[in-house]
Amino acid sequence: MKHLSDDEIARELEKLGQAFKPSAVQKEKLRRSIFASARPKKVFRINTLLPSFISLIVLLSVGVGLYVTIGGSDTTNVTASWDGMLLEQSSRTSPTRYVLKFYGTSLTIEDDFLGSSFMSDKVDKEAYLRGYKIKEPLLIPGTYENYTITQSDGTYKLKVDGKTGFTYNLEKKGPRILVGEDGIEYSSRVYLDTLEVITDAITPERLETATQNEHTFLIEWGLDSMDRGNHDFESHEHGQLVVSTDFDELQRGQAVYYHMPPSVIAKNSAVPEMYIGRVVGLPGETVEIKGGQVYIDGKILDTFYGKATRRGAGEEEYFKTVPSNVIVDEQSTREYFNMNMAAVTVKENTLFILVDQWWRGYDSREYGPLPIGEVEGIITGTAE
Amino acid sequence: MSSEAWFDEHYDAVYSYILMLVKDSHTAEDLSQETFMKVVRNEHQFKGDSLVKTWIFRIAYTTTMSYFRKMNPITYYFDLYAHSAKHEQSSEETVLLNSQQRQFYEALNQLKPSYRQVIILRKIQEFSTKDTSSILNWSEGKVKMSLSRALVAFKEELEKGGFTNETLIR
Repeated sequence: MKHLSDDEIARELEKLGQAFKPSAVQKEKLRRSIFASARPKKVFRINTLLPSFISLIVLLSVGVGLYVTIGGSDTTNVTASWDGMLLEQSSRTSPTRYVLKFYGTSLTIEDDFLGSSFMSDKVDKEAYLRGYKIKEPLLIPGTYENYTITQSDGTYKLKVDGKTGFTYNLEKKGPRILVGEDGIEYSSRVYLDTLEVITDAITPERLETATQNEHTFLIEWGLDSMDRGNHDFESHEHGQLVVSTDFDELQRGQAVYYHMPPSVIAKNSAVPEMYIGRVVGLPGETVEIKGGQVYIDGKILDTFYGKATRRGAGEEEYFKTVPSNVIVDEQSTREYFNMNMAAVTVKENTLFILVDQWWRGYDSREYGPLPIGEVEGIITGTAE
Repeated sequence: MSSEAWFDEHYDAVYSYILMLVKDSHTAEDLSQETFMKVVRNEHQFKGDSLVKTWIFRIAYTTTMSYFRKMNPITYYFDLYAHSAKHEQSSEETVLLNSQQRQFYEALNQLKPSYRQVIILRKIQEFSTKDTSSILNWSEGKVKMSLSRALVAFKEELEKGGFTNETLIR
């Protein structure tokens, strides 16, 4: 017997392997089952997407709700109300003196700055600019047609179309103060929004002489809390003050002579028992101070006693007239001119009292509304 | 090269390999399907440090082994799984073979599984020693040794069935 050789076995095994090969049909069937299932067709099933949809809707409604309650800042076009507006640059931190005139459909930007024109060419321009905080003012002087102004909360967006078009954002800082996006401050002649204004045509800025009668008495006053730049109310300058006990109903703006609440005197014994202040808030009103300006029921109190002053001067005037070496601390002085006080409701039979020079006296900012009964009399003027 | 092209090229070999081991065309189809599913899924893992065919066969081998392990958990560990399959199918039912092929196949099935593996991979699928060693995760020395012993055992099995040089139909 002859054994099988390895070669023969190998050959036969190879043949055997061929017999086990699958048929073409079988292979095709399997191919489809593998590669079809590996890439399953995307079938749109509402059920699988429903949770996503619902959460999306919930998220959107929450977002909208938050936007409405917190943001709520819708943009309104206020172009029409800016007709006739004049903005003058009030800051001195840039080498410009812009004046923006809005008239009809055109906007004129002028630059009244003289600085560089006085200098010879030799002066290093960079060294010269170093003295200014704002080195690249954005506005280019010229006349532009068809501007639009949109307001969103305290921000005004000035937009000019066309080839020379640009946009410029102005932020409202005070009732008449705007700050541009480059940091330049402007002041306007009129109030920026259509806030109602309370004025006072009766109260005189300076005390006049008053006649005396059986209902009046004279007092001496030495504090400068009512000073409006003329040592107002101070007896060493103007003589004694006439106080009348004959008054029916107190009016806004009237200076009153009243009993200082003991709580203030307890804190500072130098405060006189009898004090002078001006009636600012009447019973039923709400008094608020924002940015150094008094608001009555949300309306601007546009009177000489309605804003923060130093010796009668507002912020702008003060920093213009007082030499800078006299101002000890500009920061805190600025803060004084922009002071805030949360809204205070004046109850029945009480009054909200303010002195004329807020930083020099005590008033309702300290002790709250004053009961009317504490008022001794009204100051009608100086004695003859 | 994508897995679909690999399928075209290597499906036949994988299927025949699995069918020889499991002896049931349905099971073989299922297992080769499973094998290629794994190939598709892990296509990005193939690093190209071996032949694609070797890599696919490694997957086919592990897939088939885990099938046996599931079917006969205990016997698998004693290297006995082929003999204890509950309803072993005869080779006639598996594929159509002539009498000589049947004799060869039955002789192959009498061998112990590790011998069978090495003969199928080295002689039928014609892998190199190195590739076989990576498919089975054996050392190359073990592959060589097993093959020579397997061939000796295989010859003995054939001769037990009265198969000699003379009776071979060429």
